[in-house]
Amino acid sequence: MSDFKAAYTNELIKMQRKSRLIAGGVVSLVATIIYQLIISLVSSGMGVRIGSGPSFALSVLSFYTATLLPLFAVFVVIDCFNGEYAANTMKQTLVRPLTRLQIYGSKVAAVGTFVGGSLLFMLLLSSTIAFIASPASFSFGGLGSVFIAYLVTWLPMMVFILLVILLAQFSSNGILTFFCAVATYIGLYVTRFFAPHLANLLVVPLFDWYVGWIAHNGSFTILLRQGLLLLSSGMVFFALGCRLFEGKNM
Amino acid sequence: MPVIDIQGLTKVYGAGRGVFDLTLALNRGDIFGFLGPNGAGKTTAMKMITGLVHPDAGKVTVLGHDISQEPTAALRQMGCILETAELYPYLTAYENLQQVTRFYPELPPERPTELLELVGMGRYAREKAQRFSLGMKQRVGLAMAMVHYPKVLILDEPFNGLDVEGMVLLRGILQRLAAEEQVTIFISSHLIHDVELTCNRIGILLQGKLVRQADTAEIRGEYASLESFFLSEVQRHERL
Repeated sequence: MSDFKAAYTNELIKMQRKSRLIAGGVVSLVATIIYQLIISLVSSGMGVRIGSGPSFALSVLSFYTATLLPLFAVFVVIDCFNGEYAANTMKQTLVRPLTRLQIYGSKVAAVGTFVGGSLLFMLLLSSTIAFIASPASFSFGGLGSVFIAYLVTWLPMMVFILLVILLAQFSSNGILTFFCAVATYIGLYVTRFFAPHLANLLVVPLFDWYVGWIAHNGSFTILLRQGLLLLSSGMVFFALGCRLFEGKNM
Repeated sequence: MPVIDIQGLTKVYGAGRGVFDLTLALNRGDIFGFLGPNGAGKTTAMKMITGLVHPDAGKVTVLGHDISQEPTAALRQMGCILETAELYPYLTAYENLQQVTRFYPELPPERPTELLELVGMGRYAREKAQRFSLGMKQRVGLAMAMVHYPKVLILDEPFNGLDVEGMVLLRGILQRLAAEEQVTIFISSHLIHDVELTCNRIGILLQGKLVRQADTAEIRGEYASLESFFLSEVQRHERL
């Protein structure tokens, strides 16, 4: 376990030292402020209030998980896998006293931490901006719903990332992985319109899984079924990716 | 019991290249030099010893641990440089060493600094590796390979990019480790003069096959230099 912890710490430090992470935070901050400004302008222009308080934080979540977060997470995956293959630094990791499963697991855990950290950052950022813009519309109950929404979104996002990590094992070329990830994302997103009955299996449509969790009439059975489907998909993607990683010759 | 025991190691790539039925045993304190022309299979063999490449057949045991069955136990006692010492460019020299020392919590905290001083990189410990020359990277790579007191060192082209001072320094370090700490060292290099001055045993790999191995002292007795020995072995093999 201490070896896994060391490998996980190494991955987090490598991730933190790359300027891309800071750039991601800055882009998220700017995007959220622009989003709030647009909403404020639309609200005042139309005489209606759109997205104030908790609903603003939720609309930011919806926007963030559909656009910026998958993009940043794909970049992080490419850095962790394809980037290290291309720079020949993966060998440095592979000659440490670890099994390939531990190495793969530590990288997945680090990317999962990045996704979790990004969601937490956006939760704090969007809630703060919403509170500053409209303090009267905030309540503890509303904040609780926002917290649950951000928390449960980690799972579908992570399953998609496990799929991207699986794709990253097929080539050492980061650009190819990026385009495959984008094509997969679009493909999964579009397929739900042609085959709505498959929506629960397509991962990407479940990025708004939080809606069921915070709805007053949400069915626990449906949420449980969707949660189990996500978990099983994640396990399959992890196992396949790990199998390919273990078989790789460097 | 040999420290490194290689039995029938085979890996075949397309066009018939690769390593064929390599059998070799290295004992404590050996400095074994692996010589061969480009494409002879030296790096492939070293990658199989460290578990980076899976062999088609054969087995490698390091200090009694099969590299494919017990990689963790085997790799814990090994330090390596393979092909070139690639560092994480966005980390400092010190942080690159920490990437290794985290797996060995028993090491004293001053160990990375000590090793960087030893390889002449103490001044650059806080500088990011992206600004380092090939020789500087090689020195930090050597420090990374040695920082955890390994019992086995696998060094593929360790003299690459080093200046004369660096080569002399490395030679001294390796000979001291072998003599005083009984570290087993496996070196591959095309710099035949450095191999001759550093190693006490030599193996020649041609077209993926180990065609000859001998003690350096024995070779010196028979030939004018290691270069003459190497060339005569190549010619003999070509005639066959």
